[in-house]
Amino acid sequence: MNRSIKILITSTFSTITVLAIVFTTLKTIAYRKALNQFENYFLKEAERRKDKLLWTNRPDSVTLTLLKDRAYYSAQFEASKSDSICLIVNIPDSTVALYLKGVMVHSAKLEHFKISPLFKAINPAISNYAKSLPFKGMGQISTIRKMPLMVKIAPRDTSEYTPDVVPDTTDLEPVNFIIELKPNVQLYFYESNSSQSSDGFSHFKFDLKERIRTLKQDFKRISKFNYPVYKPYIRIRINKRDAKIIYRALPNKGQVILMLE
Amino acid sequence: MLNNNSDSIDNLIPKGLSKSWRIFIYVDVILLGLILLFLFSLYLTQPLVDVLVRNKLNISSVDSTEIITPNPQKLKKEVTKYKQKFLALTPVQPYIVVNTTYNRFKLYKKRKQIREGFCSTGSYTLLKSRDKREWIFHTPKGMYRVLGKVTNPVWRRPDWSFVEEGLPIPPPNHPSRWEAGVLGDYALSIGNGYLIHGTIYKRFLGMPVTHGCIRMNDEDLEAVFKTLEIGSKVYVY
Repeated sequence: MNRSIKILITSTFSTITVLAIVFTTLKTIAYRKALNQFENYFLKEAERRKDKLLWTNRPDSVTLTLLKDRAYYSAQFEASKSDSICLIVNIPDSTVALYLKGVMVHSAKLEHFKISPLFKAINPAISNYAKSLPFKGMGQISTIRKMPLMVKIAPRDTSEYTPDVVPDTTDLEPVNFIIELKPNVQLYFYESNSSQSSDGFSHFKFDLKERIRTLKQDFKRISKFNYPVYKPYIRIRINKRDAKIIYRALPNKGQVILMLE
Repeated sequence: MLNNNSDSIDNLIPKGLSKSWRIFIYVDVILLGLILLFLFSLYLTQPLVDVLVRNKLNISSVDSTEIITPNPQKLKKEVTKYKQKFLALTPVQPYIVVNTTYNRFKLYKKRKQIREGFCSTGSYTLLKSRDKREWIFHTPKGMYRVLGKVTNPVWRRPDWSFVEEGLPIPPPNHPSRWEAGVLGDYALSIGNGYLIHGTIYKRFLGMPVTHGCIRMNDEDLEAVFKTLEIGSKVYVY
């Protein structure tokens, strides 16, 4: 083969390997920063609320259960103070549930989940405190509309009036969405029963779009000599109907309780 | 062997085009590299970082003075208190839960589900009148209470009911505003003009077709009417 082509191939792939290593290193640093940011957020929250962190260096199973229960009920009670619907993601029970004023209105089984290792790396005292508060929503991204509004222009007179037709209730639209929580936590919901190939493609498209969005943000930050952002994530697969119910019921800036262990 | 193959590839390239072929290969190699880098950044960086950082506990950021070691007895009492407070939020009195996404309801008594069925809720229609007035027909989510119960209710048609049929809006107490028999045998008011009532359009039950009220079939409505009391909670989600 031509020598210059050999050099080109070698240099291109060496550069790419170096760039990949640099990017991974930057992302690892971003992970450390995200971990500190997460912990600082809850430390500040504890300071603001004048709460103390409860933990013991040598927790026995009874104390551990009591600490977890205390955090769980405290979060639930805190969320019930709000008028809006709250989502509880309970990983040990593999369930998600919607609560309204402390009353469970809907629950669903998780079919698959994946959690960022960051949640396991958090200082246990802070982690336990974080569980005792509902996470605040920052926004949502979805493949379906929150309010499927249909605009109807009133007829001029009775001759223009046509009675309503039966609404289309076929569940064809794929349901995938992301709930963004403070501090920078991403809660992904994917429909599990992609019975149609178009749903599978839509899932791939939605996921790819989100990955590109994150990558764009990372490159933007790197171009300004900042570290990229690591967002702790929870990826969940649930039944399409349940996913739709949760997305439609949860307000845009709704509260989410995360029970991760 | 490799050289022989490479030479044969070079031999395949027409002599007059070799420079353009070379440029083509350069561009291809660079493009392929960029695509690989792009795919790596998209799909492999996160899993790689997750593997690299796994099992690394953060212990540095908390000052030990900020942590209190709980007294087990006190902690147990606190948990019991929180648990009782939380459980008390679910009413012992009858209540109803309405799912507006799939138009279903569940009726509860003594914290146990006693009935479930289809209903109809708001259609999410935005009606725009010619004089620029607007109405959104949706059932608002949240917790409500039964404020009133009526048998043989008579519907007082609001302005939008005339607007959507292209009729002129009559004065507030005009006889054409009153319509009997369309709301079924019972109606329960949950505030702001929203009712739980019956319907003559039973084929639409289970679909979002109402102007915001919750419609039910006759049997379900009767059960709901007889179970819920004034003040009973209505949870709409």
